[in-house]
Amino acid sequence: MSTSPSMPNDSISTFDQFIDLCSRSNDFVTANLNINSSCTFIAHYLKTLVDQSHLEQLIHSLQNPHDAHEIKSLDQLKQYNPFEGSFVTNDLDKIESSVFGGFLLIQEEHKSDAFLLIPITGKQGLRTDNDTDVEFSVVGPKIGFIEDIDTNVHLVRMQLRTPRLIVRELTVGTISKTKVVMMYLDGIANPDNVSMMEARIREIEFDIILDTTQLDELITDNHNTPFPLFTTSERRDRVVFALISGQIAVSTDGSPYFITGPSTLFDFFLSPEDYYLPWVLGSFFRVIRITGVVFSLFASALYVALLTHHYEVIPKELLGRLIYSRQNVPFPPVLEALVLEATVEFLREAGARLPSRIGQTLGIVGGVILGQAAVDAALTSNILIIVVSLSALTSFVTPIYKMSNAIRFIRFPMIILAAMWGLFGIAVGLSFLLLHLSRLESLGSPYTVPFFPLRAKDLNDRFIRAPFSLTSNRPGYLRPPFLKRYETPKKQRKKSKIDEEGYV
Amino acid sequence: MVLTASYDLNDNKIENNVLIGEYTEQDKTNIIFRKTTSNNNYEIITHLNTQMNKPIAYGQMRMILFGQAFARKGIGDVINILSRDAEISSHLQLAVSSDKPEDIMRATIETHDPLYLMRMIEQNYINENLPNVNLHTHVFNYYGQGQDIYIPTFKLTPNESVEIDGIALFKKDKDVHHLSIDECIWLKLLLQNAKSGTFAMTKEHNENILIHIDSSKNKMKLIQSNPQLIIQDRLKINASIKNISEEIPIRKKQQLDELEKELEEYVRNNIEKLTKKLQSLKVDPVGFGRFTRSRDRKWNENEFYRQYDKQFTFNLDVEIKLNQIGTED
Amino acid sequence: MKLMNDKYSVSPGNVFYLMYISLVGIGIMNFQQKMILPNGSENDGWISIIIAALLILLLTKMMYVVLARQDIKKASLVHINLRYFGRFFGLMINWIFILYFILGGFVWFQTYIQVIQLWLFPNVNVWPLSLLIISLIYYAVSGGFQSITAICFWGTLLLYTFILPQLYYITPYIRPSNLLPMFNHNLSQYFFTTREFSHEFISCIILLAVYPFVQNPKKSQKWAFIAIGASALIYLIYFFMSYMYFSLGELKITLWPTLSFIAMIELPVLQRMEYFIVAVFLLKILAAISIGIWASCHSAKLMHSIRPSRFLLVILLIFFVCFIFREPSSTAILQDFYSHTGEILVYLYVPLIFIISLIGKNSGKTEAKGNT
Repeated sequence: MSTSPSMPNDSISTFDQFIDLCSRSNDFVTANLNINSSCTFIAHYLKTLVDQSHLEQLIHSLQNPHDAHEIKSLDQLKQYNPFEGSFVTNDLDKIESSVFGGFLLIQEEHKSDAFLLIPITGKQGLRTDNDTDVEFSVVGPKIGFIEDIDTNVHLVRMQLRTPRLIVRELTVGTISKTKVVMMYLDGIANPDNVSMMEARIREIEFDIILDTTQLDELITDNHNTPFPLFTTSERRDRVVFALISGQIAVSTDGSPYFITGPSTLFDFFLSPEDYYLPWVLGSFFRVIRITGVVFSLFASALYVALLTHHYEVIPKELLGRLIYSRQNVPFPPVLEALVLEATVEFLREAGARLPSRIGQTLGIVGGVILGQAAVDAALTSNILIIVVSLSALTSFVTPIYKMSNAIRFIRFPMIILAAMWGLFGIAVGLSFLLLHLSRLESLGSPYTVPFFPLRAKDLNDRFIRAPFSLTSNRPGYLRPPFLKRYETPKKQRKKSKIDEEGYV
Repeated sequence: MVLTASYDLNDNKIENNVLIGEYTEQDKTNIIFRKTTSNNNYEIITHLNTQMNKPIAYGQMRMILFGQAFARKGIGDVINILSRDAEISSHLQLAVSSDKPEDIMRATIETHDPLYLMRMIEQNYINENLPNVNLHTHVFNYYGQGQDIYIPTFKLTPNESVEIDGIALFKKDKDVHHLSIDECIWLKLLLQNAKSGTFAMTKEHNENILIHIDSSKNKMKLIQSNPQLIIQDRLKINASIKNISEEIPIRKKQQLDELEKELEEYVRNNIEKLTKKLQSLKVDPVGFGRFTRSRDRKWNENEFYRQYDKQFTFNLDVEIKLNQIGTED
Repeated sequence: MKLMNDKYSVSPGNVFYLMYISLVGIGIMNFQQKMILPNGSENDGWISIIIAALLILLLTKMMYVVLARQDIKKASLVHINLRYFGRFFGLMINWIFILYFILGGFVWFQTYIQVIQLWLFPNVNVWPLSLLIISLIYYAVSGGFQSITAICFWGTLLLYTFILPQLYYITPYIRPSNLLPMFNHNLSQYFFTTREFSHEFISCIILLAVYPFVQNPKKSQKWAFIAIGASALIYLIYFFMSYMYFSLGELKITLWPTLSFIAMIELPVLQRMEYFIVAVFLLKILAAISIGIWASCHSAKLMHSIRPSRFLLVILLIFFVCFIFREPSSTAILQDFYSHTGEILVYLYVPLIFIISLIGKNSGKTEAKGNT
């Protein structure tokens, strides 16, 4: 784009300049297209972007003798070509973006006032298997998104068969010109949220969008927070659930992720699986998840605080073991904890970048051998190993990876605060955390809802997974224009068996 | 880390002994014994630190033993220190030792538990005849009006092991009398709604009964406070027979009722004996004063204890219900 | 009737947290002490708690009446004073209030650090701690009214979650007969205790400052009353617990009775719960200080268009400087000064404006006609 600040400023103002520039690339092909004697067309395309079989199919159909002589102009050519989505234009920007999007550019010989663009984009190289690798679930569908936006939209539409599902396409990225798709359910998503989201996406000034998660940061309300303010997901069921709750989903071409918002802190602890299990179990797992996160946040910090400052707090029965396990450790508890926590992070980081088979070996080396050796060498106490590995484990119970990253990050300042000021330090950390969370906003709506501001009606599906009979309304904090999700069956007085049994 | 400490008096100097837990083996705790002497009650930590390679911490201290000489002279100073220090737990136990505290503490070293004495006390008030005690109750009684402190006592058995041999009664902060362990149960029944405790009764012809108290309920009533103080007490006990000599017949309801009567009489006599003793000693561990204070607006501590030994009548009704009769019949 | 953007105001229910936090201060840790003085009513202190709560209820009702009679856009402390007392005196009174709020914050701040020093870190250098708290205050107040409400909410929630377990663990140690005989004190002792105790409640005046930030403020009256009831209940619970747990003589030497009886609690994995309570209490203190400072910042903005963020920095600087150069004895003096000023402000000022507002024109119903 000529106005782009990220590109050299010698703008392309004419079509010839454009062709000239393109011809410098070897994969740019210019060919004559003789359909009939009366007129000659010239076709330009990037052979690496177009689908060869589509091209052949196009040429074949145009050379059909019956039609061939009728084609005299671009408009007619447009009518006869078998591909949807072709159009005539002379807008240079549009031509540029289309050619580089895999369109075939056709002009009449010696004429450069109108051009026909035919989409014959090739899609080789894209992943076709759409398993949910990152957000795996045992129960429920395993359909995830892939790197192609059209497929993704198709996947969502397959489940939301309603005209109310609005799909808006926007373009972001001065160089990448990435197609960004924004989806919402009309009449269910709050229009204010929709317009705010759209405005934010339009305002983005950025050169290249590689992944949806980048958008997350670009449209976020607060840049200086470790917490993700939009839910990121590669699972179809999660995105669809977000949509019917009244959230807005955004994805970019080339990314298997959708971000949905406005999100709240608790959205990150929901797993679609909760809804596939009986509500008792779903609730149980959700409570496990939340307590796990709390444990993960404070366990190592508490260990450090108690051992450094407040040994009186540890019951006498436990204290003996603690002292025994620590007596040969030459470091203060804080160093011990920080080094171990860092080790866990190293392991995770190394494991994440390695192929899965080597990753497994690494896990064994790191987890078992390193830990055992560290205790044997009296570099750390085995109780701390338990604490750290448990808290590392529990930090992964959040279904959304971005959140677990944030939680693991927060542990480090917590440990340092605990080392300096013991329990008071942890309280400072906790206060700061609560304040920070309360100040965060996702797409203008508060992050800690429904706790603060308190919305008692929405609490039923947060800490626990309420049975379906109680979740017939959409969460109110999203301010959906239409609150009712489904009708709950009229309550029939359930009679207990003992009242009914026997001969009548 | 100090877990058990003691105060004793030796040649007008205060002798402190401490048991320090050292956790060097996985399952066993080694106990280090240290001894210091000083002129006052405050320097114990400083003196101890001169003997140790690691700083002394006392936040986990759970047991303080007083030598008898020290207890006779007064433990108020120590209670004062303990109650003011935020690091000291309210679950700390106090005890008086009839023998030298040093010997008693040394006797527990081989148990590898520096809190052996504390656990003895806790075990005994949960399962046996000792009333509930801990630092909080002592501080409560010491600073409160109308009740004196009572502290368990230890002594060494001939074969060099430690046993709880009763309760030391204090007047203000001075040890004045030791109750035997058999008398403790009567004090316990008066002090609290007991959930445990046993006593044995011997009848004329040497037949024995061992009674276990399952639960008791104690309800005092102030009949009159001036000029003569009269307190009426109803003690209800649910008890079970643990052991009984074969000669005592209890098969029939009537026989059982008779036995209950006999037991009631026995308990009443014993408790009355105890209260007489308390009155003559002019100590009030039961808290008659506290009780009267809560019922009588004009109550005055000095006034009350001046007439405590003479003008005070304690009437007791005992009601015993036997629940369960041994395992074999 | 919409007063301001939703973004800056809170719903009426939140008045509960704001009031509750202002009413239950650090005094909850040692109010039992104040009743024991030679002229306190000791085991009958609960009567004083109830009387004080009823008094505050009455005063709160007065404040609501006054506020309801103001033009909705100018229903705040600053505007009321300017309206009723003229520009000069109004400004003066407003500045008194601003200084009063700041002083209150400082008193709490100082007392809390004292508690930490006593219970958690007897030997630590406290100025880094104070700096830490000050930066937290900055973070809370700079987030505006909503973040203050949020911290009030969390403070209330955390405090409540600790109470029930406490009751459970303390019950075996209580001796109800400590409370008997009832009514064995004379009238002047009741009066004295009530007066002493009502010092815990004097921060209720904050209502005048937060009122305009509440959506549909008239509805919030109910919540303010509930908050007074809830805080009276908390005080009553702690009163009964501590008077039944300690003997009177013991209470006399116990500086922080609430913390001392919490110390009794032992769980299998943790003992000495008071360490946790002291630490977590930070959240509550933070909330209480923050409301006061926010109120003074906002009032300064309304009067002189001082930028609140600048004013906030100035206040916190003063906090820090005052804290560094404080004398150990000054805590009690400041506390006394604060309590007595508060007494005048609450018991004289509120009825005064109440009467004036009854005499003056009612601008509450006829909206936007401007005021005198």
